[in-house]
Amino acid sequence: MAQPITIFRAHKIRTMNAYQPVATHVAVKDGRILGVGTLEDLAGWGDYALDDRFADKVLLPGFVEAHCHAMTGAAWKYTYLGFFERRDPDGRVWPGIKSLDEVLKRLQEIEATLKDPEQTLVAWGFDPIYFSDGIRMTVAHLDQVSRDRRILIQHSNGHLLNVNRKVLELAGIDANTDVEGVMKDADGHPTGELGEMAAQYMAYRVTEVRRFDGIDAEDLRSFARVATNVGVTTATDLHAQVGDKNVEAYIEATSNENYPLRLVPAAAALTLSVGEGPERVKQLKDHNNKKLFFGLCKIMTDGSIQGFTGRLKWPGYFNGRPNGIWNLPPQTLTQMVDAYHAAGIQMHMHTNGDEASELMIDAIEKALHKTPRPDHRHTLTHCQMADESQFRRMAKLGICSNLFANHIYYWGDQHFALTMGPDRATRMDACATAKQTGVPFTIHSDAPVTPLDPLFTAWCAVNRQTTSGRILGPNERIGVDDALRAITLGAAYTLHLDHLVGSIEPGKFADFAILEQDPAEVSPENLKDVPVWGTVVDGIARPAAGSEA
Amino acid sequence: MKPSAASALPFTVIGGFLGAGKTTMLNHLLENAGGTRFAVLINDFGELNIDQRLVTRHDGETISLANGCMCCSMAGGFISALSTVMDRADQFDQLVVEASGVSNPRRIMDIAKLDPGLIPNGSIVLVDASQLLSQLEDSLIEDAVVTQLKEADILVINKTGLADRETLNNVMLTLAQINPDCPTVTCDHKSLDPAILLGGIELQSGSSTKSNTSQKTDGDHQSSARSPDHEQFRSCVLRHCQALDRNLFDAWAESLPPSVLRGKGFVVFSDAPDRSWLWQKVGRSSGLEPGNGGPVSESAVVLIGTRAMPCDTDPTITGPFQRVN
Repeated sequence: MAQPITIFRAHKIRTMNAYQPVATHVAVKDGRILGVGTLEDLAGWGDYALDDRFADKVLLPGFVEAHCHAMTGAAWKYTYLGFFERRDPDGRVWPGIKSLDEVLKRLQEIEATLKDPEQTLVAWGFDPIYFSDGIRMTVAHLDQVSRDRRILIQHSNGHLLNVNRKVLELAGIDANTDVEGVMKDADGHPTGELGEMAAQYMAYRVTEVRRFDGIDAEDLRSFARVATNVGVTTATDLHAQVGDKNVEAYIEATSNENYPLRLVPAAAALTLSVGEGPERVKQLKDHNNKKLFFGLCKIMTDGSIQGFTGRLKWPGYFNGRPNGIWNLPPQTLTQMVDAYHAAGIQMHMHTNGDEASELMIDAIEKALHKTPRPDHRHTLTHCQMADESQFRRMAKLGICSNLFANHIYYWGDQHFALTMGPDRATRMDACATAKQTGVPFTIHSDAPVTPLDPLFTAWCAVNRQTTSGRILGPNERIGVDDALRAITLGAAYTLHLDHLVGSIEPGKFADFAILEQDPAEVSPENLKDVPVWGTVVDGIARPAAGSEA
Repeated sequence: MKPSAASALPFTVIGGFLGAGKTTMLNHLLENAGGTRFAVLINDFGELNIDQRLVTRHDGETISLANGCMCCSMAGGFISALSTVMDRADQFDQLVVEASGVSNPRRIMDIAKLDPGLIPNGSIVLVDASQLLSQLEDSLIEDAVVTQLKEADILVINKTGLADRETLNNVMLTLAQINPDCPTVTCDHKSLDPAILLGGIELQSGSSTKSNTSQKTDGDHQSSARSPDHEQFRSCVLRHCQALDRNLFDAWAESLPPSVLRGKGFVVFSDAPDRSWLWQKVGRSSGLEPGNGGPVSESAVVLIGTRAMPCDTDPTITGPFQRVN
C-alpha cells in the first residue's frame, strides 16, 4: 500500500526560514511540506516511507528565477555558437567557441548533417566582441560553410544577424541598398552583418525562419528540462504573449503532473492596449493551477546598456554615445503603470538605465498617491544602474529590485571601458546597496540572454568578477547566505509567491534543489561549481540530465 | 535590386510624438477612404473611433471595414501585423503605418525600401503646434522628437488653433532649423485630407487633366473629406511628348522647391527611348524605378504642393517639360 507520507533524509537541509535554518529531514504529503526537523520530530505525523536517496546530498528550497524566458528551451532547436560553455536541455555541454575559425568549423559540421538543401541553417549565441583579434564575420566566411544553403546567425545580444551570400541575394540586399543596419565593407559591399528591423525582417522572411511565433508546450517542456538541470523549480516567462494559443500551451504543459516546473508568465503589457490589458491579465488568473501563476505583467521601458539603448541620466554613456531609446513615450509608460496599479496587478518593469528606473519610480509614486495599495511589490528588473538615492526611494515606496548579476561577469569589462566607465560600472547591479537600503531584492539571468543557472548568478553577486578577472565594485559584493536567499525566498517575494515557494517550511510546495555539496560551505569562488543532482517538485524527485534517479 | 515597383503597395509612415494627432488622422482616413482601400497598422485599437456600422468583421488583431479598408493592430508585434497585410496585399491600394510616439519613421520606412512588395510613399510626421516647444525642452523625449522631425519627408503642423501666433512662428522657425528643406503643411482642424498627404494621385495615361487649383473649395468641413483642404493645396500636370534629357530632368527634380509635397508620373529618357520610368517624389526625397509595360509615348507627371508652390508657368516648376496651356 502506498505510504501517504514520505520523509526525505538529507545530509543537510538549508530551509531559508528563520526559526529553523538547518535540518536533516523533511516530510512531504500530497506534494506539500508537512514538516522539517529530525526524523524524530517528524515521525509523529504517522506512517511514513523514509526516502534515503538524498542522504549524502544537501537540500535547498527549489531555486526561483524571477527573470528568464521560456524560449530558453526552444533556442536549442538551433546550433549554439556562444563564446561561453552552455548546457543544452539534455545535459550535453557545448564548449564555448573562442575564435571565428572554430565557429566556421562548427557550422561546417552542422551543415554536413543537414539533408534537405532547402533547410536554413540557423545558429544563435554568436558573440564576436569576445574574440581577441576583433574579427567580424562576413559573407566570405559563411561561403566556406555553404554557398547554396541559407544561413542565419543570431548574435547573443539579440540585435544583430549574420547571413551568407545566398540570403543577401534572396533578400535583394546589395551594394545599392541604402538602409540603416546593413553593414558594408570598404568597397561598399554588404558584409552580411545586419542590424535594425528592416534588414532583419527581410532576412527572416527569405529564410522562412519563424522568429515571431509564440511558444508551444514542447518549448515549455524543454525549458523545464533546462530548469531542472540547474535546480530551478519556479521560473518566470517574463515577457509572455498571452494570446489564446500561448495560454493553451501554458495550460497544457503545467496540467501534466510530471511537468517539473512552476511557471509564472508575466503578460507583456506592450502587446496589450492600456485600456483592456489590466482586465485581460486579471482574467488570465482563472487559468491558474498549482504550477501556473498568471497575474503578473511586464513593462518594457528602455533598451540595453551594452547596446547603448538604455536610457541614462547625465553624464550618459562613457564613450559619448547618444542616449538610448524608450519603447513607448514616457507619458504612455506612466499611464500604463497607473492603469495596472489601479487594477491591483503586480508589475515587473524592465529598467536598465538610471533614467528608466527613475521614470518608473516616479510613476509608481504617483500611482500610489492616487491609489494607495499596500504590499504591491512592483519590481524594477535589471535595475542595473540605480543609484543609492533611487534605492532609498524604492525602499520607501515598497518597490523591489531584481538585479542582473550575470551582467557583471559577461559585460562588466565593456561597462568599465565603454558604457559606464570605471566609476559608475562599480555600482552596477548593486546588491549590497539594495540590502543596506532595505530594498527586497533578487538576482537573475534573463535566460536565454545569459545561461539559466542560479548558483552561477549567486556566484556573480558574491564575487563580482568579470570575464577578464576584474573585481567590479568590491563594495557591492554580498555574502553567500544573502545570495542564496536572493535566488530562493528573495525571488519568491518579488513574485508574490513567498507563501508557496522559496523556503522549506510546512504548508509550502515540496520543491527542493538537490545539491551534491553545501553551497554555504564551499569557498565563495567555487559557488558556481557546486554540482546539481536535480530537483524535487511536488515531492517527486526530478533528476537532472545525467543524474541517476 | 528590387523588381518593378509598379505593382508594389505604396507604404506610408505616419509619425509624430504622442498627442500630435496621428490617431485622429487615421480615423478620418478610414472613414473617408473614398474608394481607396487602405490597410492601416495601428498601435492600439482602444484609441480608434470607428463607426461600428462600418465594421464588417473584427477578428482578433484585425478589423475589416465595409469600404474595403482594414485595420490591423501591432500589439502582437510590427512584423506579425505587416505579414498579415502582406499575405493579402492585392486587396489593398495603400498601406499606412502609425508609428509609435517614439519611433524613428525612417527605420520603419526602410522596410519598404527592401521589400519588393512595397514602395516607399513617404514619412509624414505630425507636430502638435501647442506642445512642440515644450517637448523640445524635455530631456526625456527631446532626442526622440528631434529624430522624428529630421526624418520626416513631409511635416504637418497640427492643432495650430491651440497655439498663439508667436508660438506658431517659433514652431515654424524651429522646424526650419531642424529639417530645412522639408515641405511643411499646417492644419487647424481634424479633417486635413489625408489622401493628399498620402499621395492619392493617379495619372491615367491619355486622360484629360486639369489643375486642382481651379477646383472649387468647400468651406464646410463636415460635409466632405475631399474638399476642405484642397484650398491648402494646388496641383499641376506637366507633359512632354518627346523623350526627356536625363540630365535636365535630374536637375529639375533636384531643384523643385519645398512647397512641392509630392510628384508622380511616368517619364521617358532620350538615352533609352524604348522604356519608361516611374518617378516619385515625396517631400525631400525622389527616385526613379523601372516602369512596367511597353514603351510610353510621352512623359507626364503630376505635382502637388502647398499654396506656396509656384504656378505652372514658373520655370522651376515646368523644367524640361512643355508648358501646360
